Order: sequence, then C-alpha cells, then structure tokens
Amino acid sequence: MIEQAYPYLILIGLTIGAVMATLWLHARKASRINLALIRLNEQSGCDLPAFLAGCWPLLEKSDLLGMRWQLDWFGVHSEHSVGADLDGRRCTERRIEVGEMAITLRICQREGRGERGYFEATLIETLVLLLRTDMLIKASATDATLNQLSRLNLFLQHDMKNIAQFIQLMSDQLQAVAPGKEQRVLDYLRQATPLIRHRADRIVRTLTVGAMADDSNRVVALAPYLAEACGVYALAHQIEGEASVESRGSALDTVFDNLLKNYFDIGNREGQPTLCLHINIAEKNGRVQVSLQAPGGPAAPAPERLFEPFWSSDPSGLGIGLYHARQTAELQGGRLDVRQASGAPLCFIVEWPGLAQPA
Amino acid sequence: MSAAPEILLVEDDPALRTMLRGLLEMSDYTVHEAERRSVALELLRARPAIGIVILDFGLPPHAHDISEGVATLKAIQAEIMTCKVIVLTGQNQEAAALEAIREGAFDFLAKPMSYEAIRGAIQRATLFLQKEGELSLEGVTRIAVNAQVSEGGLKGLRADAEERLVRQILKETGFNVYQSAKRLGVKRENMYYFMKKFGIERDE
Repeated sequence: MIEQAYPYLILIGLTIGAVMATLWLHARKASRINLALIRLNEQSGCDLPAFLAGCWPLLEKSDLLGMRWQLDWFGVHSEHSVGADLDGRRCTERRIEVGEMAITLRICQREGRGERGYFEATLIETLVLLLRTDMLIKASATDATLNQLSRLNLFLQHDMKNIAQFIQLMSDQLQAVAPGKEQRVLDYLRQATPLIRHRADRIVRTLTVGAMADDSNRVVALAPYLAEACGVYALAHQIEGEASVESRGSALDTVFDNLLKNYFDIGNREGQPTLCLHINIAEKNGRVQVSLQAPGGPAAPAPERLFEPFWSSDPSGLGIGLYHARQTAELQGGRLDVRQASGAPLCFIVEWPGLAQPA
Repeated sequence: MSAAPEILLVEDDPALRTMLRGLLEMSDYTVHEAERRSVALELLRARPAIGIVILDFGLPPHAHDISEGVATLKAIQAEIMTCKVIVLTGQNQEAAALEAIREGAFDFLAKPMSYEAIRGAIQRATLFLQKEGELSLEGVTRIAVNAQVSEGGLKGLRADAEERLVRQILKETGFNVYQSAKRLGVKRENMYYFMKKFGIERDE
C-alpha cells in the first residue's frame, strides 16, 4: 500500500526541496544586498546624501523598479529619482524626520511578486533603518559640535575679557604713577605679569591642540620644575625623587599644567583648597615616571572618561585639557595614564623618555 | 563708617586680582581678596569694616557663567550686610546686568573697564554708605525689597519688608532685643514674636 504512495511522497519531497532551494536563493540574494547596503553606508561615512546617491545599483539587483526621494537637508529642498517612472505604480512610501533633516522615500516594487515581496520588504526596511541611523548620527554630531563651539566661545570670551581688563588696569596704573610710588608699582607688576602670562599661555595651548608653538629643546630637572608649577596654582606639595628629561617646545608645560590645574580646580570646587599633592619621580630603564596623587582628595566621578575629548566633570570646563595633555605626551614618546585602586586616591602617571646617555 | 571703607575683591583670576589690588592699595584703600564664595562670606562675617565688595560673576566652579557670582550676591544680600556690591564681570552683559540689579547690586561694570570708572563706582558706594550711616543714626533704616506683583500682592510684599527690617535692625543693634524693639516702636514681646515668626536666631 505504502509503495503506491512513494511517487507522490517523492514528488512532494522534491517540491518542498525546490521551494526551499528557491527561498534559500532569494534569502541569500537579499542578505547579500542587505550587507552590501550596510558596507556602502560605512564607506560613505554614514553620510546620507552620499549613501543615497550610490545605493540604487544595489537595490536594483533585487528587482525593485525605481526609487524617488525628496530631501530637506538643513533648509535645502531637493528631489531625486532613479530607475523606472513611479507614476501609477504600487509604491512603498516612508518619511523620516530628524531635527532639520527630513526625507520622503518612495520605492516601487513589481506587481504580484509573492514570496519575493517579503524579501524586498526587508530590504526596504534595512534601507530605511540605515537612513534613519545616518540622520541620527548627523544630528548628534551637529549638536555636539555646536555645543563644543559654544563652550569654546564662552571660554574665550571670559578669558579674553579678563586679559583685556588686566591690560586696561596695567595701562591705568602705568599712566598715573605717583612720584615715590614707582617701586610699589613695579612690585605689583612683578607679581601680576607672570600670572597673566601663564593664563595667556594656557589659552594658546588650548587653541593649538596637537600643534607645538616651537620646537626648541630644553633639559628640565623635574623636582624644581614641578615645585614651581605647583606654586603657580598655590598647591601644597611633597616631591620625592629627582630626574631630568628633555622637553620639546612647551610639551612638558602642557602635560603638567593641565594636571595641576585639574587638582587646583577640584580643590576649589569641592571646598578643599588645601589639598596636598604627593609627587614621586623615578627613573628606570631610560624612562622617567612621575606619579601624582592627592590623598584625601575627592574621588573622580568617572575615571574612565578622564581622557575623553569634550567631557568634563567641571560644569565650566572645556573638556579638552587632559585629552590634549595625553596626546602631547604620546607625541613626545611619553605616556599619560590614570589609575584608581579601590579606596585609593586617583593617581596620574606621566612617563617621559629619559635623557639620552652620552656615547 | 570711615571715609574709606575696606574693600573685598572677589575674583578668581589671580592676575587680575593682584593688578586691581595694587591699584586700590595705591589709592590708599585696604583690600581683602577672595577667589570664591565661601572665602568671601567668611571674610565679610569676620570683618564688618568691609564696606564695598567688587564681585566678579564668573566664579568657580562655574567660571564661565554667572550662576556662582549671582549665588554669592544672593548670599551677601541674605545676610543683610550693609556692604555695597559692585559687580565687575566679563560674562553675558545683558543677563549679568539683569541679575545684578535683581539681586540688589549697587553698581554694574562690564569688563574691560577703566580704573577711573571702577574708582568712580567705589566713590559713589562710599558716599551711599556714609549717608546711610548718617540716616541710621537718625533712626532711619534703609532696606532693599524686590517686589513682584503676584498672588501675594501687597500682603506678600509687606511680609518681606517686615522680615528684612526686623533682621536688619537686630543686626545693627547687635541682637539687642530691647534696643531693636525701641527702634521699631514695638514691645519687647513683639520682637520675640517676630524672631520666632521669621526663624531668626541670635547667632546668625
């Protein structure tokens, strides 16, 4: 009895096999096109207009008939069309809006496509997802850049006005020196001008991330150098050990000034202006290592983000100081790192190439 | 109040602070310095001779906006100190000026400003302090009240003015309840009632 059913069972099996093979082929094709779209988007730098301009040859492979889109890109309206004429055909329409960007997309599929329609639908959804992602990335990058510019503007405005005020007062003071008070005026100027020079240097360094003001080399004995640098911020300090390093341009100043200013700011912000900074200098295998920590100081809120550009725990901070310091140290063949053991204060480690030994 | 009141400089930029201190000392003023709010308030409490505060609005931890400067001005006003506050700031001029006036600053100067202008503001503040001192001897107390027409209307304004007046008189008499009651023309029991009502404690 069963033998009579064999031909039918074989036929059914072959039919199922053929259907599965056809579906597998369609799925593989759709999957390849999906992956190709994702790669194209990556190659375009997630730039929506560039991606859209190049995606049709891939979509065309899936037998989609045509595509039309209306793009509103930061106030500029444009219309584009590829493939067959869409008028009077069945189309899938999607609209995506993110901030000042909007796109209306119409994609035309063939009539009566059966199972192929499902694969084409997933392809269209992939395309829409990529477009939406590109727009979100663009919006996020634009917001972040504008925010950074705004902070930089605030920073510059505040510092420049202080410097202008300083120059105004200095000019006023020099114009009206009463006889017999010349020495006092000189004393005030001796106190104030290094402070304003230091501030101006900081501004210049902030604005020249990655660039060195000059390339002159100098040998620096670290213990007296760090003692002086702490003095600028009136930071109490204990220094152990000594070593000398060679610094090109203002690289060393950039690194240590940023670190010390952070300690100064944190101390002031947390009401602990009397923080005592423990500095240890050691030399090993031709490398000089300086560790800085402030026992009893406040804990860093997010040590893993300390070197992230434009991130700051200080509400008025630009967030590029430590990032800049790290970049500078690495450009000089050094290293800037941070460690925080459980319950211990944050420890900054600066590593710098030691002085070359004479041959 | 002497002819030249002591001056408190509240400025976070050490270079600018040093330069301005130099100019003021050359003009024979006694100058104190503070780089942030807590130090400024400690100095004001410890040194009643400070009559004028020159306040930068951009103070740490918010050196790039006016919030900490405004908070400092509010704290000075809240303690009913007789000193005059001159705001000298490089922050957003419109917003800073509005806040300075709202919180009772005596004068507002935008950086960069000449020393002559700063000294002019100090001289005006000195004159006001002197005249207020003279009025005080005559039993007249000057109080500053920000009035906003709202649901409270006159009632709210009256309560605010009443509280400030009681606080100020108590401060001026060194918390002498008898003298304060006499100056206010009320009974001593009423003074205790006011102190309880406004939550005024002797060690404020």
